[in-house]
Amino acid sequence: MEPQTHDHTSVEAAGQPEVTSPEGQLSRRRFLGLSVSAGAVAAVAAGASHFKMPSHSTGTSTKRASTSTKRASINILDDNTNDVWLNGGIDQFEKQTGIKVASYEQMSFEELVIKLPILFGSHSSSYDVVDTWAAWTAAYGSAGWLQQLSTSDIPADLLPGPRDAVTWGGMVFGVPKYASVETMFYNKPLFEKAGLDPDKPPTNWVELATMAAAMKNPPIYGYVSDEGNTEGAYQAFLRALLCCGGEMWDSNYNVRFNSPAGVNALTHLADLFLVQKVADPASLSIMNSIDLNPIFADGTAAIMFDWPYGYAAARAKMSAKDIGNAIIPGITVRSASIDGSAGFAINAFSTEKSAALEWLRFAASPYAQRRIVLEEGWLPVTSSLLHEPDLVAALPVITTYGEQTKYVIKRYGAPWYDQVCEGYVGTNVVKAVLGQLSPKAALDQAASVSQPVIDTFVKSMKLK
Amino acid sequence: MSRARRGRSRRHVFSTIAHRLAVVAVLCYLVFPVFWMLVTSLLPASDLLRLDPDVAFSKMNLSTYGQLLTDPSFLLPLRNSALVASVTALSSVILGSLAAYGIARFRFPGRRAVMIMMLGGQMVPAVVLVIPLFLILRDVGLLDTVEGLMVTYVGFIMPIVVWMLVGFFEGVPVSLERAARIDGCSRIGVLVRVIAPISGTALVAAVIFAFISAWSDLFIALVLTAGNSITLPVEVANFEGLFVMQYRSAAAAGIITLVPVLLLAAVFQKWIVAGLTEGVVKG
Amino acid sequence: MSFQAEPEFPAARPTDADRPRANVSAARRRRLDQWFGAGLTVPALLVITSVFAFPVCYAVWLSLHSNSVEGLPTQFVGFGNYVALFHDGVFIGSVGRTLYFTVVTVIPGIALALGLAMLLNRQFRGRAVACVLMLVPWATPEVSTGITWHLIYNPAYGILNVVLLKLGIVNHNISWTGTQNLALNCVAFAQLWALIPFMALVLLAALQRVPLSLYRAARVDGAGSLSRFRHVILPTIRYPLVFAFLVQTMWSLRVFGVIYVITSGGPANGTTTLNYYAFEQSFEYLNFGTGSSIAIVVAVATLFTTLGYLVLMIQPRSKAK
Repeated sequence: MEPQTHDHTSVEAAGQPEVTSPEGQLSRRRFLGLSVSAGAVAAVAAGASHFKMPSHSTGTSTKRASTSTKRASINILDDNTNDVWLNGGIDQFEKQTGIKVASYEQMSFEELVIKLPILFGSHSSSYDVVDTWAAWTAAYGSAGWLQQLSTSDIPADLLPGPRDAVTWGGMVFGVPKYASVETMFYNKPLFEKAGLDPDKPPTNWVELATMAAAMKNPPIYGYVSDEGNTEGAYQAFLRALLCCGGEMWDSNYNVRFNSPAGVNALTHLADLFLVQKVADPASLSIMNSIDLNPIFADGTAAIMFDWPYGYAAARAKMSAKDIGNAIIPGITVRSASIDGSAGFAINAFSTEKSAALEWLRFAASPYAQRRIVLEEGWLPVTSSLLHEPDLVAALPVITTYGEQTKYVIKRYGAPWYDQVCEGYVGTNVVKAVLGQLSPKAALDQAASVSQPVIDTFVKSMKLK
Repeated sequence: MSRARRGRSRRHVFSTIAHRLAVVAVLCYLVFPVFWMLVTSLLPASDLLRLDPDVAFSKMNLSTYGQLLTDPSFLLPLRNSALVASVTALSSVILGSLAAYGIARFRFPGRRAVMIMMLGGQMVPAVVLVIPLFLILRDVGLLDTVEGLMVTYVGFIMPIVVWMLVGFFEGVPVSLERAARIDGCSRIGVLVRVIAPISGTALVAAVIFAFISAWSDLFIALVLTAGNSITLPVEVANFEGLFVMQYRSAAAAGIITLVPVLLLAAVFQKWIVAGLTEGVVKG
Repeated sequence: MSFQAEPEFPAARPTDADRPRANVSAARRRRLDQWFGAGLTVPALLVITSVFAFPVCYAVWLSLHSNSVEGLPTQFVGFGNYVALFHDGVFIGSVGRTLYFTVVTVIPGIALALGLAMLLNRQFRGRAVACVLMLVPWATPEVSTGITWHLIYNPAYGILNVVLLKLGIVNHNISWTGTQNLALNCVAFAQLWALIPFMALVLLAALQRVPLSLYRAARVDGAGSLSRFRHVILPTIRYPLVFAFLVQTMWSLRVFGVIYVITSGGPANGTTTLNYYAFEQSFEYLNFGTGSSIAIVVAVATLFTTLGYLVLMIQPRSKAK
């Protein structure tokens, strides 16, 4: 470890006398400086030629224009929820329609959040069909990034939840591929153990709180939810809001979630944690169904409100007879639920739109719907399939779902969904549930920041 | 034994024990999380991921690894990552060392500006740079290609390599080069014959650093790749579904992603320390 | 083996008689040297320019525009986006969170790294193994980091809660990433974990350059270990230490990856730092103009930090000349 000699680093400092020829130096230096700046300007100018600020022209890509003699082919970008397409669904489609699926890619939801705006914003035509749900339909549809469809393109008997997931502002932008509506799952043995009737689950929140208290025996809790992030918090609040007969905003887009019904809803929600203390505190860390389902399946949660997949997850560890399923108990109304359906939409810049539409129709067709229900435990999107005996036998949740559709099912997807619903409302709901703000203060705070944002959108989109 | 010596040896023993304990404690902190991920990849999730996990050594097996390493849709990202990271590392260091040498040795006017300009791109968070990068790559047809990814990574990583190596080159005694020049060697000859042979450790350190940076990147790869050029981190990120998370596969994939860089770091560990000694830390 | 003799390069060492000619040739040699040096940087600069020139300009351009109805910024608003940031509660909170995060990762981080480096600066059996194990967090890519810490922090079955419960330290599951103030610290803890190895490596390399003679001299002078540390070690490793401080600060100011993979900015913006907020605004709210302006703010802050570093690094060196 010899200490290194900190020798000088340049030739000139090594002792050679410095020649001062100012003019020569200056001219060289100036030339260098000029050439560097010229180079920089040239580089930026070259880059500026890429500077196609996306205009409102329609898709400008002329690659892969299909001629009538060439077989049409489509590229699909989906999330990673369903396997049916890869497991024979695509083959069936190709056989049925003669359209080739050149590529079918799956990406996680988080990745799609990043990729889709970039793809649409750059007017890319590399994908013809994309995955969508309530919020994206509204955000991307209103931005002109999804191809608008006519009502004849979608099945006539679409159920309300999935239908909402693909429409916005009265316009249809896609076709649902599966329906997902929350229902109540409960653990029958835990009911019995606490002396409750396993066939009489709660029908309102008073009963919910009482029964949950009876079954509370940490680590077992009567009620668990996934409110660990703002999205989950918003969902929990929306559910409660609808159960109080409230609405997020009215038809003129004035916020209504801080109405007395809203305050009532949030109070009920927060009380489960703060007053009655029947809700599992871990709910505030549980980010989504991924972590919620195992808790129920392990038998440490007696009641949960969950998407249909909760049944399949529970069946991994529980037997069918132990899993109870019923409609969501209401607060001032009998029941209400929230929607989480997903669908397919057509890229507005696609060059194969008619072929893409065929895929959308296929996804909602009885063949695909049956497979999604039977193999993956999702709910069908059309009412005609609600009563098919084999589907009901495989997925008892369908019956509950059918009943739930008699009550309000909403998600309030809108272009401002992420910022307002998830962002402002969700954040303040979390604060209320943590006891940091009173429910009224929380909702008023959310309303005061949300209304201007909504107004900006409404004005620029000329919605009213 | 004199009293003084007895006293010293007792203190010595105590300090040795304390030292070893401290080392073990810190290493536990550093290693345990990954160790736990390894355990997760070896046991069924239903056994492990619950309130009282059942860690049965008898049940441990490598089945998930077998699944992943025979799955072509996993091997593709693995291959892509290896390719992209190696080429990026080599290119960054070749180009970067030339630039670093030029900056360190030759006091040309504007060299400070050059160094700052190199870092300019680093300052702006990638979050906002990915959109125009996407546009550029699309327009030159390099989207979803390993080549496009390599060029982008070199752009991001090379400045740091330059900064790392400037310090090193400034520490190399000029006398060697002066002697060679006086002997009539050309400037390029000096590079090849004098500088290159003695820069070994610093260059290796830079290559390893560049490799790890390129191999591990998630966000840029997310944006710029698709089915063809998908890299390992992106693939691992896709293990998270909306409703189900394949924890065991994700853990196994996480371990697979980490093993090559760890091996590299282990094998070249002495070089890295030596390289950093001569480079970055020069006062 | 190519000799490229330059016309004016003297074949023999310059004598006094040659001095005037040596002056001229030295000047010209220096010019050529400078061109050569500059030329060496050209390939690197070409790559960097082509990768960054347009994107950085585009980022600034974006930050000066606001969304039109088409979801992409086309409406020029000048500094409107920046001004609006100061009215945005989440932005202001993000600034605070980012600063807190930086302090909490830099100071303990460097301290721990220095401690670890000093621990490893001794010869002991298994030192090589320890050095390799130390690098594990550094070698772990972001995605794997996310999975790892999810498995630890998960309230229901994360190993942290399991262990704490079994040891009886707590009697209920702690919501690590669900409690507002706790979440940011948890993420900082994970970030520390990822960054300590590299800093420790840098500092270890620096420590190994401290001449043994200095240690011995101090001990002979009767200096206790604390005094030794303050007066011998610290001054010698000053520059690498400053380097470590500043690199760590820069990274912490721009933190994004670890938050993206562990908490996604939650709970209730509890871990939303500046860079993450820029991401949220751009990709989730489709406010690319606002997102870019936040990113530019981060860039400016990083620039000032780097300039500070350069000031600290360059001045003493010129004094040493």
